[in-house]
Amino acid sequence: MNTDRREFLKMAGAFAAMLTCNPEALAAGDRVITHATHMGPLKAYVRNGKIVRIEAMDIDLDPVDLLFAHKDAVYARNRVKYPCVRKSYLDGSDRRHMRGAEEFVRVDWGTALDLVAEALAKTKGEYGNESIFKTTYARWAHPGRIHQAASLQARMLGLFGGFTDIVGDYSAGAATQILPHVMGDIEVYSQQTSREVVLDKTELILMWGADPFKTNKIDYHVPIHSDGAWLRKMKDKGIKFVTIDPTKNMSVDELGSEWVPIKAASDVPMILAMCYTLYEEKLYNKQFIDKYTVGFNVFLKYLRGEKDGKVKNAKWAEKICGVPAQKIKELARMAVKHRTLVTGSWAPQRIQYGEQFHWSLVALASMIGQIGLAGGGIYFNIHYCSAGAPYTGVGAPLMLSQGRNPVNILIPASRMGEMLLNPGKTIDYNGKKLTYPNIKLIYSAGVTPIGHQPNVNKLVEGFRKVDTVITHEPWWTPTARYSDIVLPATTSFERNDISFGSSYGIEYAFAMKQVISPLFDARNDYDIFLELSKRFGFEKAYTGGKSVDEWIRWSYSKMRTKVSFSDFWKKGYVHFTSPKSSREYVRHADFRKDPVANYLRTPSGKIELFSEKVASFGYNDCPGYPAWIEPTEGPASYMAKKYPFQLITPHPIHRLHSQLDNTSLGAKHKVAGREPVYMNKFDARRMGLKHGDTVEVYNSRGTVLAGVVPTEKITRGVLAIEEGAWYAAENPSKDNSRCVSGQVNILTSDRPTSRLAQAISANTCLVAIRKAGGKLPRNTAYDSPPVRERL
Amino acid sequence: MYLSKPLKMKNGSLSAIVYTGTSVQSEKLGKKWIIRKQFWISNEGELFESSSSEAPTGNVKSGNIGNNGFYATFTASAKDGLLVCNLSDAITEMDSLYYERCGTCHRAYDPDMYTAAHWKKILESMKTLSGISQQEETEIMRYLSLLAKRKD
Ligand code: HEC
Repeated sequence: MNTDRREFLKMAGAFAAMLTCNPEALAAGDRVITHATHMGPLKAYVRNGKIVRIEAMDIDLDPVDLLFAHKDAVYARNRVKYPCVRKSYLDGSDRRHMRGAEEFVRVDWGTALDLVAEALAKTKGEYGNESIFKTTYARWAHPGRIHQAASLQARMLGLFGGFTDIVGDYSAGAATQILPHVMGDIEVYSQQTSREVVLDKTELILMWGADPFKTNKIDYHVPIHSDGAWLRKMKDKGIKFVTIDPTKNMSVDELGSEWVPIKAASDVPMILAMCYTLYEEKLYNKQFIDKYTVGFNVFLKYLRGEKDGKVKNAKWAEKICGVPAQKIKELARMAVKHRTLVTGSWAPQRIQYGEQFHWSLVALASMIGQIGLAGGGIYFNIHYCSAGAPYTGVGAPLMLSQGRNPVNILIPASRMGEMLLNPGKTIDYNGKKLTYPNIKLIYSAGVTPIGHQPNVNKLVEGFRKVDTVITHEPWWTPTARYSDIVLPATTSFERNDISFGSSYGIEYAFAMKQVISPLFDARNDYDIFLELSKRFGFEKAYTGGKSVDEWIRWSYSKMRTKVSFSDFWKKGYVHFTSPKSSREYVRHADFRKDPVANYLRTPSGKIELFSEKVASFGYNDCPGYPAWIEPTEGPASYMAKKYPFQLITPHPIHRLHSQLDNTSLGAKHKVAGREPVYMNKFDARRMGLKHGDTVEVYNSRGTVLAGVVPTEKITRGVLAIEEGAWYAAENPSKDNSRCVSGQVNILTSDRPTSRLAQAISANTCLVAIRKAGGKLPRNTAYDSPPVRERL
Repeated sequence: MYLSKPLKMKNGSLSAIVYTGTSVQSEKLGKKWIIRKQFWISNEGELFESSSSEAPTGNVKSGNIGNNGFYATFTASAKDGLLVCNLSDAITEMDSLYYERCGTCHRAYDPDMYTAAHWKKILESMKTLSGISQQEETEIMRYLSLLAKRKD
């Protein structure tokens, strides 16, 4: 065959692929291409190969500001343009303590991939596969199913012989471990009562920490923002909302909710006192307790203070949480008078002893006695991914399997820094023992641990200890900047993919069509792992014999729909409707109907208000019943003298975790060029601070610069800095140098919730605040590091 | 030998479907295999390896079983290809299904982490999260119960 003919066939093949997957590529002039993101489905207007405008798709019922910021993100100044290697890693002088402080050298793809393969092979050879740590654990970078770095990386590394993996998550790490003991299910991610039922039956919604109008801006898959209308309908119908939160959050205004200000990290005493009130006033549902729960008497002994001498009444709670005793009692009485939903977000369990939050809510809901009734009981994800949207039953487009991981070491998500610094250390974990491996290589793709991991200075120390740090990134995130080998990855706009949304309803499948060509030298994560698989000789096992377009079709074929793939792809989406049974779904109705036949997955088959199993672990930081334990770092501790403010780290309103912080939207919401710190007006006045002042917020773990925003919307004594600002050390070559950008995890502790869940407890944190003096450094978080053209 | 597909087996007037992965005795007779196996038949009409087994390995399709459990030997004949020498060859399809469906959001947890009864409850909650169909749930449950932790 002559070359021309071969070229022709290749082109014809490419053409056919374009026809099937990218019809717009053929049109002349401006093109409108559909795509989908965690912020909603969109139409991108493309001129001369460049995105000029982003519009929300019509099916998005309530488009959000975040969606439009994607254009900025794609063309951000700090895109990683070429494969880069830290200078002393490349020249062999190995100044690993200079990670994050050294310049990079541009290399070609071949060299970069060889270096990655070499480092992996060397680590495996010298220390074994367990010394390879995959930090990529969640899927927040984009909602695509095929280009999902977390599963692709596991697939490749699994074939390579395995890796140390992460178990659980940062979001609800305590709840997902304790609730299976209590309710027999993780509950926080499970399908809850359908919206129609709630709208029809519920009369009162108690919301601890939940801010659905903020958090439902985004979805783990693709949101169509249908929950706002649902919540507003409830408001219009006169359903009463009560928000218990240290901040008067967005949803308080939207819902006309009653705001009950509370000190940070102190919801548990309030909930326990509500339980005690129901007991003291004989208002609790004894039949429910007898029939559906075990261990109430043990819990009751604790409430009555039989052992510790402290009666857990409203007065006791008021002293700790600051909510007036009268209010606590009033809410308890109100709860039993109405059809009441007990809801909580997950921020209140991201505290020391965070397991106790959801456990005490279950105790409260059990005493109210409405679990399993339409519109009553518990609802632990009202703020998340359009929960309650009735499931259409079509299944989701599949992701590639992670395959097998021959290494069987799973480290709880919060333990990253600890593990890096303490190889061989054994910890307790949910009734088992777990020994930290000796990590020598850190590999991240589609995730930025120097972002979500608490105690950044400790993590950086861990990063500087290992032999190799590899990162795939579209941008120079802090994690990329502290790496040795940085591989430029495409954004989802630069490749075809498939997704769906909402997460619980699955009302749509979405074609995430390629909008533009890859920028600079960027490659898809899929192809990067493919190139590595080739080098290791398991290319076939990695690809499964399929191309990306074939995987997309395969993924679609796993949904139960009659709409053909080509019709789906052409239109950009398919809509599905939900059956009546989903719209009538009531969580735990079957258990309530027949607790013997439909027993829960707990040892007793019932709700466990005392868990023999948990008690048998003998953990003093997580006893066998819901309890309040004074935090090591609380307002009543000795540390409070030095660091008098409680710090909370809510989810950001104008970005998704750290994503989009490097856009004009991110910049618009900075104060004095840095992350805002919200503080009560009186506290600010007392300290002589005014709006826009640059301050240092600090504790023993570190210092950040931030811009002050005095407000009435936060409890006195509490400061809030939203998580997700990018980290930048003032002097990166110095340890614990202050962060000029306001990355709040410099300040948070990586102390685990308890030995049970070993989850993060970032909202248990004390800090001090003072006006920053002297010449203030520029915020360099969104710069690119210096990159040399050659060694 | 192990069944690599479900098989219809008989005992007099009783007929039952025996599930993939069941171990059976077999002998070759000409071109065919003669298969036999004793099961415990519960009064719900489910077949078990023994009266103390937790997870069924088949179920009665027709015939009268009365109200008390009993042991009975079932027979069938089969062509080449139905029987394989080890369990892992018998369940390769279910194995891929398990890894495909349950090994995406997190690693596919080792089946011997939990007992069959425990897995059944886990599947009830993971069913909606993973969007599997009724048929897939049945197959995954079968897979897990074959490899599950024995009751301690
Ligand atoms: C859509 C994502 C998703 C899929 C698909 C999925 N899971 Fe899960 N699974 C989760 C999440 C989220 C958790 C809780 C957090 C954690 O432990 O990682 C979890 C936890 C678990 C746990 C441990 C916690 C417990 O309940 O005791 C098991 C076991 C499990 N899943 C089994 C399965 C099985 C079997 C399947 C296949 C039918 C499956 N999962 C499919 C998301 C998923």
